[in-house]
Formats: sequence, C-alpha cells, structure tokens
Amino acid sequence: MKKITGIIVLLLACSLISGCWNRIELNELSIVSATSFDFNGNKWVNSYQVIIPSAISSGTGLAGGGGSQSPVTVFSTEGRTIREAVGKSSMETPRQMFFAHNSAIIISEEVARHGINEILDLHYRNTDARETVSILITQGNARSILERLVHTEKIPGQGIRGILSNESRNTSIVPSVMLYELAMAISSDGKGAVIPEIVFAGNDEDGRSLDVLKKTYEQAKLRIGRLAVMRGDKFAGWLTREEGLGVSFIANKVRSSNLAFRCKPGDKTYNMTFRLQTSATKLKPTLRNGKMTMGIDIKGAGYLLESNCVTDLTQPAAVKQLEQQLQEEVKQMVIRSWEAAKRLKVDVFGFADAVHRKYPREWRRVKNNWEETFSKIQIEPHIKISMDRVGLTSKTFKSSNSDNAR
Amino acid sequence: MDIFNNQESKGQSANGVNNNKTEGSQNNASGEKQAQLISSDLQSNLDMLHTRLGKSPDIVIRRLGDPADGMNRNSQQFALVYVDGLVNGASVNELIAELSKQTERDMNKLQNGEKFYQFLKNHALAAGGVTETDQEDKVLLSIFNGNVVVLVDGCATSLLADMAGGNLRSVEEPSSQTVIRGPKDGFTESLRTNTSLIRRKIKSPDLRIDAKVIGTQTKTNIAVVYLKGVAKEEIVQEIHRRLDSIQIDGVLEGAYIEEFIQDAKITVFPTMINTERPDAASAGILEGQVVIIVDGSPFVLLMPVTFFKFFQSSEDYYQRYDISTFLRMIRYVSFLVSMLLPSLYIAITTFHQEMLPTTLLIGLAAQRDGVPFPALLEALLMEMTFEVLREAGVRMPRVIGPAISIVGALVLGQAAVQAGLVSGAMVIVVSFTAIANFVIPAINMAIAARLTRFLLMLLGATLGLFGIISGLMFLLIHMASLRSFGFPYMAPLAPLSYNSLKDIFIRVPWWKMNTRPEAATDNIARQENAGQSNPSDHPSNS
Repeated sequence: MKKITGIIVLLLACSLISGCWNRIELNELSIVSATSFDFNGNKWVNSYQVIIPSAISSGTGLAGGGGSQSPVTVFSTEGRTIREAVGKSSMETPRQMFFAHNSAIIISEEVARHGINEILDLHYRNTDARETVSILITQGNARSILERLVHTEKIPGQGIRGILSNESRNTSIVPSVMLYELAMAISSDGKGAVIPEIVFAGNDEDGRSLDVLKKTYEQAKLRIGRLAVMRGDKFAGWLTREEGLGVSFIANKVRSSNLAFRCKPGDKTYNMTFRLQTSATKLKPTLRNGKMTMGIDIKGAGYLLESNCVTDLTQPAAVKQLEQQLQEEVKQMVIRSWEAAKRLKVDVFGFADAVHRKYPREWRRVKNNWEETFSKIQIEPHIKISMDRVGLTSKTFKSSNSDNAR
Repeated sequence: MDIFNNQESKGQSANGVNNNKTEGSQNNASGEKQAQLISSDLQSNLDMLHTRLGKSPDIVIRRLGDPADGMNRNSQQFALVYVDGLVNGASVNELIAELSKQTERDMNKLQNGEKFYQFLKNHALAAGGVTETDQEDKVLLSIFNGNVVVLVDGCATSLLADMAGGNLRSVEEPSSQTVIRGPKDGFTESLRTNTSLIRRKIKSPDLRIDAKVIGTQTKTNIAVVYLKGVAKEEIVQEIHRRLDSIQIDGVLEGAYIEEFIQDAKITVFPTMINTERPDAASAGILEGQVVIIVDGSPFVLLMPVTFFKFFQSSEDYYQRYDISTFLRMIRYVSFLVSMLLPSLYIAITTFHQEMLPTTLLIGLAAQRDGVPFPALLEALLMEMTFEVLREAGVRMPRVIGPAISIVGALVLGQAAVQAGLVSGAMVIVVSFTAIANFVIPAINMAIAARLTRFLLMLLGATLGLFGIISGLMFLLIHMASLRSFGFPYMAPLAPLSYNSLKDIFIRVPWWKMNTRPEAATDNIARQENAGQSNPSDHPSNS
C-alpha cells in the first residue's frame, strides 16, 4: 500500500515537474493565415496576416461583437534572416505567432530572383510551419497582397487558397502549388518549377478597407495571373496563361478544364466549348542516333458544353471531326508551351525525370548539360481526346431553325 | 460436496422456509459455542424469551390453555410466539382458531405434553412449512424470519411454523434498468420472491439455490444461485469459500458482499455486475454465471464477468441483432467519449492546435477570448458543476426537481457562458460527456469512466496527447491484469478467443449463438444443433 502511494505520488510529481512547458491557451495564439516575403535592400521583410478570431466568429461573453471589425491585421518585421524577423514579431504583438494554419505564402518577384532556398529550408526544418501551404508569387510588393480583403471569404489568406484550388480543380490553367510540391520539383532532375502568380487588379487604395465588403461589386480584386518559372530556386521568367495550360497538359496536371475550339478548320471564331473531365499524360522519350525525341501521349475524355455550329451531332462522323478539331487545338497549345519553355531553357515538364528513368546511362552523360539537351529535344504530341457526350440536344438551335425555315 | 450439504441444511433451518424437514440438533454449525437448549417448562421458556428479547411491543406471546385463565385445568398449556408485522396476520389468526377448536375437541386424548406436541406437529398445525428445534438461538432466529414458534409445556423442543408475510413491495418494473421490449418484472426486497422469479424462468432441476446467512447481527439470508453442470464447479466453490470468510455485523445490500469478495481490492473497474432484472440474472445463469441474492435488496450480483459484459443490455437480446449491434457500438463509443472527450479537448486546444481545422480553431479561439481561466480549470469547473448538479438531482426531493433543472440548465449553462466564465465549446464538451456517460448500461462501469476522466484531464493538461496516451496505456495494462473470480477481465480479447467474440462487439442472431461465452463455463454448447444454420431454412430451399 505504501509502495503504491509512493508510485502514485512520483507519477503525479512527474506530470507536474514537467511544468506544461509548451502549453499555450487558444487566446494566447496569433493565428497566421498568410505570410509574405519581401526584400528590402538585403534584409528580409516578413509580413503576417493575423486572424482576429473575435471579429470572425461572433463569439460570446465579453468577446462579442465582430462585423464592423476587420477580420485580419497585417504587420511586417524585418531581419537579416527570416527567423530573425519572425522573432522580432514578439515586439509588436501580445500573442505568440502560430504558423500551423498558414494557408498561403506570397513571395515577391525580387525574392524569387534572389532565391527561395531559405523559405523552403525553414518550412522543412521546423514543426510549426507546414509544407502543405500554398505558395504564390507576385510582381511588386508582396505585403500589399496580404492587405486585400476577399469577397465571400472572411479570412483573405484562406480566400487566396480557395481561389487557387478552385482554379486548379476546374480550369487547370495554373496549377495549385504547395510548398512541398515546389521543393520536389526544384530538387528533381529537371530542376524546373512553376509558381502561380497572384495579382491585384484595381486601384491600389481599394480593397484594404472593410468598405470593399459593403458593395455588390469588386473594383479591386485578387486574381490568379500568369505562371512564374523557376530554374532551381531562382526566378527564370513568366509563362502566359495559355502557355500555362499547355504546361499543365504535358506535366500531367490537368484535372478538368473548359477548352474552346473551332468547329471546322476554316472557322474564324471559336464557336465550340468542350468540358475536359479526365486527362492523363505519358511522356515517352526515345533516343535515336543521339537525338532525343519526346513522345507526349495525352488521353482525355469529356463532353460538349456549348456549340454554335451547324453540324449534325447524331452522326458519329461529325463527332469524330469535332474531336479532331479539339485535338488539333490542344496540340497547338502543347507546342506553344514547349516553345516557351525552350525559350526560358527550363524543364518545367519533368522531361528530365522521364529521360533519367528510361535511359539512366545516357542521363549521366547529359545531366550536366541538361539545359542544352533539353532545348534540342524534338517533341511528338499524340493527343487522343474522346467526346463521350454531346449534351441533351444533339443539334444547335441554329440548325433546327434552318430546318423550320425550309 | 460434503461442505455444501452441511451449509445447505444449516441455511434451511435458519430460513425456516424449506418444508417438511425435521431438524435435530446434530447439525450444529462448527465453531459456534455450546448451543443453549430450551427447557421443557413452558414458563421458564417464556421467561427466557422475555430476558433475551426485552419488552419489545412487536413481539407477541400468546399463551393458550393456561389454567390461570379459568379454563379447564386439565387443558394442555402451550404458547405461540411471533413478531407482529413479519408474519401474515390472517394466517396466524386462522391458526389460533383452528388450534383452539381442535384441542378443545381432542382434549382428553392429549393429556401429556409429548402427545400434544406430536398431535400439533402431525395434524393440527395449519402451516405449510413446519420444522422443529430445541436450540434457543434457532428459535429466536426463526421468529425474526417470520415463523410462528409453538412452545408446548412439558416438551423440550419447539415447532416452527413458517407464516412469513407482512408488508413487502410487490414485483414491479425495475426503475434502474428499463427496457422497451422485454419482461417488465423486477426483483424485490424479498429473497424468496427473488428466487421464485428465477425459478419461474429456469424450470430446470439443475438450478441450485444454496442458502447462507451472513452478518452476526443482521443474520441476512443470502442465496447463491447457479445452474449445475453449466456453472464451473470451482467457481461456485470459490464463491462459497469467500462468502464463508466474511465477518461483518451486518449486510444490508449486495455491495457489502461485492467489496468483500471481489478479486482486485484497488480498482475503479467493477468485477461484478448488479442487476434488478430477473431476465438478466437468468441469462447470466444460463451462461454459467453465479448469482448472489441478498435478502433486503432488489439488486442481485452476477459473477464472474468480463469488461465487455458491462456493455450488454437485456434489450440487446430482445431487439433484432442488427440494431443491437449498432447500439452496442454506440455504447463503446460513448464509453470512450465519456472518459476521453474533456481531456482530448484540453490537450488539443492547449498543446496541439495544429490538429484542428482552421475554421474550428478560429471559432474556439473566438470563444476563448475573454475567458479568464486556463482550459483545464475551465473544464474542471464545468465538470464539478455537473457532478454537483447530478448529485443534487439524485438526492433532492422530487418536488423541487424542476426548479433545480432550470437553475442547472439556464444559470449554469447559458449564463456562465454569457458571463464569460467558461467558453461555449466547453459547455458542449461537458454536456456531451455527461450524456454519453448515461448511455453505458451498467452504472458501476459508468462510474469508472467518470473517475478516470479526471485523471486523464490532468494528464492531458500537463503532458498533452502524450499524457493521455500514457494514461490509457496504464489503464489498459491495469485492466488486462484484473481477474474476476480467476477469469481474465479483458477476455475474450485478451486472451483472444474467437468463439466468444460473437457477443462482444456485435450481437449475432440467436440461431448463430450456439455456444456460451467461455468466461464462466466449460460446457459451452448452447444449442443442440450447434453449428447449423437458421432453423427457418427449409432443406428444400437450399
């Protein structure tokens, strides 16, 4: 009995001596919803978008209110290293910074040109910051992105992430890139990576005040822009949105997208829309007489969304013809993005990995000179997209009208 | 077995209820001091009763045939002694009338005491169960067990006529374990009623009821009920051994006995089930469990049991097996919830905020804004509040019940949140914990969860999830080490027995329940055609 009491006392003492060293109450946390990295001379300027919980959730008791209060506050700290700057934040905020719920990192183009190695390193080194945070790039000041409010989402950081994931799921023009994906791409054989751009459209003074939420329209808004291409951890150049979709096709990152195409080869305007539902890409490198060819097999399926063209879609031949038009459209897209990548000399498609896998011996020879080899590759796109359904009506209104006229 | 016989007969004489069995003084229980015998003189016997019982008004001594009353002086003197309220008044009246009539008629034949005694014993005593004894202590005990003692002048033995009666609660629906479908009868405070309720359900000649008397002052009657051939012989013997070693002045409820005979003395987990339901007791007996009934309490004890027995309710077997399985899952989940939810809440909100979805985290953080106490204190405050409310609800008079529930629900719940003393989420956590606790069918298991909850809260608040997991590991090791009458508490999971799993997490249909759980029996075949399928399957259908 004495023994048992002794053991219990010891156990209790154990739990108390430890002193709850890393215990922290919820109301002692500064929950960061987005961070940005800028450069000022050779100093890092970190900005944090900190959530004010009582302004978002009405709460109860003493902490009532909300509504008229801004849901977030943004502040910046400066330091020679990133974590030095973070450390300085304790001089400005009464609560401890909490990065586990950070949903987006915005880096400025200047930081990207300097290199993002430090950012990757600290996310992998520390437990509090997650690697699953979305990463975006912006021209100009990154902090100003954090200051903008997003309609329909209370927390702008989550709003940014929401825009990105919605876009990549439904349009696939610009892929959603999480920090770990970026790190993987940078450390892959091709060392090429892409980061989506976020731009602020509108008057610079707009979008910072709660007044923006009082209108039914947004004069100033955040939107996804182009695609930044990284060579290693450094910025290499920009790709347009159209080139971006081509990159997504080659890199097998298309989930679903709306594709506009022409009904007949000679049509001046785009008059059909196709909803791509599934798409898979296989890269098949072949080495013949020292020349590298890259077969790009894209297989996809979907249905017709919109048609402004007089064709009889009840005929399989007509559908076949539409498929061919569509494939031609995608092929052009692929070729254009390939040209763009060649221009930047960055392997954003993952060609290097495909070559490494198929020709490990030759890879050793070319890997030091991969940029050169890459720009000499011939590509052979083979696109097979099947139109599974044409929608509820097989004819367009135009064709049915002309039937009546006759 | 010899021991059993001895105990059996000893118990019967003590009860004074087992019929038509004359008992001499040869069955003196060993270890008692030399028994006082009654004398052949009626007056000295009555004097003895006066001295030993005092002048309690409820003890009735009715002398008949006393020549001092001016009756025929040849008449035989005798006396009836009983306790008013413990005997059936109408029967006693009838007995006295009958005796007067018969002795009047046959007076001349019955001149001496011995003859009169034999006459009473064989003809005149209008009672179902008549026993005789010549020991003072047994006479006294039988009076308190509801017997009418007949003392005859000139005879050194007495007749004990069983007339037990008086006011007792009738068989009612159990208040603590109600079912929607199933038998509605419940045990009462009367031991005899309770054994009869079991007898009514199990009409097997193998059903054994061993009687015992425990308590130096209360002399409480105890019955050990089991099914011979199904219950393990060594468990029955062990129970008898443990019961015999109890030395206490009084037993007022089965709980007294439970604490004496349980295997582990220091544990929060019960190793015996108590029930108010004859069907639950009978089901246990059919599975080889032993039932202990204590006179004066409607709760009977079932043993041996495993941990999982506490999550089985009678109704599981009366409703269809699919819903029973579902409900059983809910009970296990509720047990974990009622044990873990507050500690998990504390640990996650103070150590592992990254585990919460962002929106939830913000909501919780907003609620905590302005709450002055740390999460642990907040939780303890609310838990204690609920425990106080609960205790008040059990103890207070029914009339003021509604007042307390209004105060509890409104003032302590809503107002505490509005006053900023606790966060709304904490109220939800504590209330759900409390509700989940009531889902566990066995109250004593619910109490185990209630107590361990506080320990885990402390661990969660000091060491986070690591502390909770350590606490759970400790609990698991402790539970695995428990035994109920020698049988592992965590069986059939540890040690694993696939055969007994059919009534643990799921409740298989009755036609598949062809074996008994191995906890309490070696005789596991439950159905004649064990292993065959649903009897409704017609051979031609297959």
